[in-house]
Amino acid sequence: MTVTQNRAPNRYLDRPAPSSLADVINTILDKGLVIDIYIRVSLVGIELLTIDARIVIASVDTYLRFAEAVGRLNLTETQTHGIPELMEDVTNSGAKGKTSGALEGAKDKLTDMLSGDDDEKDEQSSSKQRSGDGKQQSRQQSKES
Amino acid sequence: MVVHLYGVTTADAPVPHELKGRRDTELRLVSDDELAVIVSDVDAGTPAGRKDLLAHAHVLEAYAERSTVVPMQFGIALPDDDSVRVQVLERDRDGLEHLLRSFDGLVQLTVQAFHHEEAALREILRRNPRLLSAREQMKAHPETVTPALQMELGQAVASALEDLQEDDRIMLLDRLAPLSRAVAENDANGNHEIVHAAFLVERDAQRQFDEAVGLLRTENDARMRLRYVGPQPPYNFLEPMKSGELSWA
Repeated sequence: MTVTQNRAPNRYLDRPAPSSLADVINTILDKGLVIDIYIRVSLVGIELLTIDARIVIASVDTYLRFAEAVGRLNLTETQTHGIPELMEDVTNSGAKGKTSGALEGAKDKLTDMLSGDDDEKDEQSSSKQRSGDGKQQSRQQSKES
Repeated sequence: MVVHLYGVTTADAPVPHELKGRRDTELRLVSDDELAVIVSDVDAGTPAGRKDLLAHAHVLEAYAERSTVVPMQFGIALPDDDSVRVQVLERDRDGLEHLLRSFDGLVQLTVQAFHHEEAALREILRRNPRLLSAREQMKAHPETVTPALQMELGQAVASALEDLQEDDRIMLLDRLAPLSRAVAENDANGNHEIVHAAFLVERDAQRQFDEAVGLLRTENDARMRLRYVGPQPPYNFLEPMKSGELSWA
């Protein structure tokens, strides 16, 4: 009789890795025991990393990038169903637009579709939008100066 | 020379094999009957860089693999061993012993997950018919697309991505938290980060945790990337334990 490894989940076994520099800087550096009086070891050459691209999701640039990215996606490979029925959705509800100028209709419809979400979601995202606006402002300011 | 402090462990903790400190210095223990401070002697004037940060973290992680260790914050040195005894061991012995007792047999394991952007975008289109129709409409009538509409679509995409992140965050935490004693989340940093959480896990149960992470990685490979770091000393749990927010020893 042969002895075999019979623990099936073994093939999923994952081993944790040691901390990387980013781990140390982003999550560990400010944690740990401190004492009252000590000699501070000065840290050099780290500043560049700490301002590492912390991209906030709510910024104008990010929105525009997402819009482009979502437009670029090629859905035909994977989306075998879904599109036809959804397109039907669009054409049904966009009927008004068709009769009264296709272009205007499309535009209205699009705005409806995007902003027609439930209200509480809008409430939730209002703070994020504010921070997005703030970004925009500061960008404009820096342009002016 | 100054004495660089790494962390505090119990006096009987075995010294990890061939482990070196900052700048390849020899590690020593400044100890009394109960407690030991892990230290090494470093040139006083040498400023610390990336390698020093990593060395500090890796010394602590090597200890954490087998012993309980309370980490010192990086960048703390004292002039000599006597001050180490006074400033560290005698200053708050009860506090240190309480921490070492509380974290006995426990390690921190950190999991960070990120969405693959394209897969996440596909998923939100699959889940949000409105978004999909908006996209198709814009593709079909590019002449109607104004910057304002682009912004609106982008905002809706961002919001749907956040919803997806939240769903996946909950899924990951639901799978891993039951295998741990406590969970502490780090602030998310954007960049499609789903979750960045530290788990306090019994050393003997780490294998189950390893398996759970491995399984999650396999199942969600198409949509997300997982980073799994550890075993670490209980960085994220020191403050909650000191403040009494966590308590069991």
